[in-house]
Amino acid sequence: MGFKFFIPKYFMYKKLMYICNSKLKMKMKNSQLYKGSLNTIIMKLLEENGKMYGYEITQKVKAITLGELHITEGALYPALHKLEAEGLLDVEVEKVDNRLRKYYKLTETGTKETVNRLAELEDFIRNMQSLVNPKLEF
Amino acid sequence: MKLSNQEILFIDQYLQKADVIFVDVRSELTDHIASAVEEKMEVEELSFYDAFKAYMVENKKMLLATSRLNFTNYKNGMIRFSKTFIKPQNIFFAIMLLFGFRYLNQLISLEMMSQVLFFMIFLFAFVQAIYTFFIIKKRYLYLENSSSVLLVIYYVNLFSNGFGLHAKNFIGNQFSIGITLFLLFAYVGYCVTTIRKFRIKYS
Repeated sequence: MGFKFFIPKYFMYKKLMYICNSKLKMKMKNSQLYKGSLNTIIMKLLEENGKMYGYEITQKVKAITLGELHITEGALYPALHKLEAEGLLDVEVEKVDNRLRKYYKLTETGTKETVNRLAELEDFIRNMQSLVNPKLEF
Repeated sequence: MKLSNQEILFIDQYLQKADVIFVDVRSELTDHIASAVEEKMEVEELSFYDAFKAYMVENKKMLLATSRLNFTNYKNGMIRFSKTFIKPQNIFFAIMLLFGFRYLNQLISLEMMSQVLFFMIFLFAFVQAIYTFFIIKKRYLYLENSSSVLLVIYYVNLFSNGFGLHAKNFIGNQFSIGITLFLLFAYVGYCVTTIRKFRIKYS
């Protein structure tokens, strides 16, 4: 059984809260150490929720982390567009409430890549946890 | 609380005036702002204009920064293009070129081929401009970020084959011509796929 099954969802996102680039509003100041994990957060959310639109992603992250992590538009949309260009995300445009809404969902490649990236991130969290606070057990 | 058509149109026109020229970017931002404003109206019990003003004061700079055609967007076009190389028809075309040049040399000189390549690159750029400004009559970032690929092909051709408008400036060989031709062929495939996907998404 994989490592991720032992981590409660809330606790995992609390950990992810620290793993984001400088464009995210966050508590930790030395965010450069964790640059690049925003894509994994997005992919994880899409894996769980199927398809989501930009605003929904920001609100979901905010809700899961109890308002402690706020992904700004300046970080979110470039990340979504890059993932789409890489072929990891697909886009669906629908008319909702008098306006066009762009939904993002994982492609087949994206779904496989999410598993790899999550495993990588979990390894990273575990290693950092061992280094920083070896006494804490999951 | 859902926004009315007029309120959505107000947001769209606001973004248009703020130089958000791409329709696809604008519609995504409009939806984002509208969702945020709807929530603000509900939670803080504000009117549309108060909620919109409050939201934009805080987020305008960040929102508009994402709407510009910048290096990141060009890079996305390049990344999307790079995925086309592994398609079987492109590999087949590359192999055909490799063997075909032995015979192609006798039909058309490399200098002439270099000139044809220059002409083709300019022709594609022209066709793209016509498609944007006269056929769809709207600008989409999804389509325009692919123009960076054509620019790269232009420079690859320029540095590997010389300035093709004059045959005496030709500095390439059959391989450099083959590589440029292959890139151009892959680019055409990429453009067709992009336009097809674009039509499905935004029809």
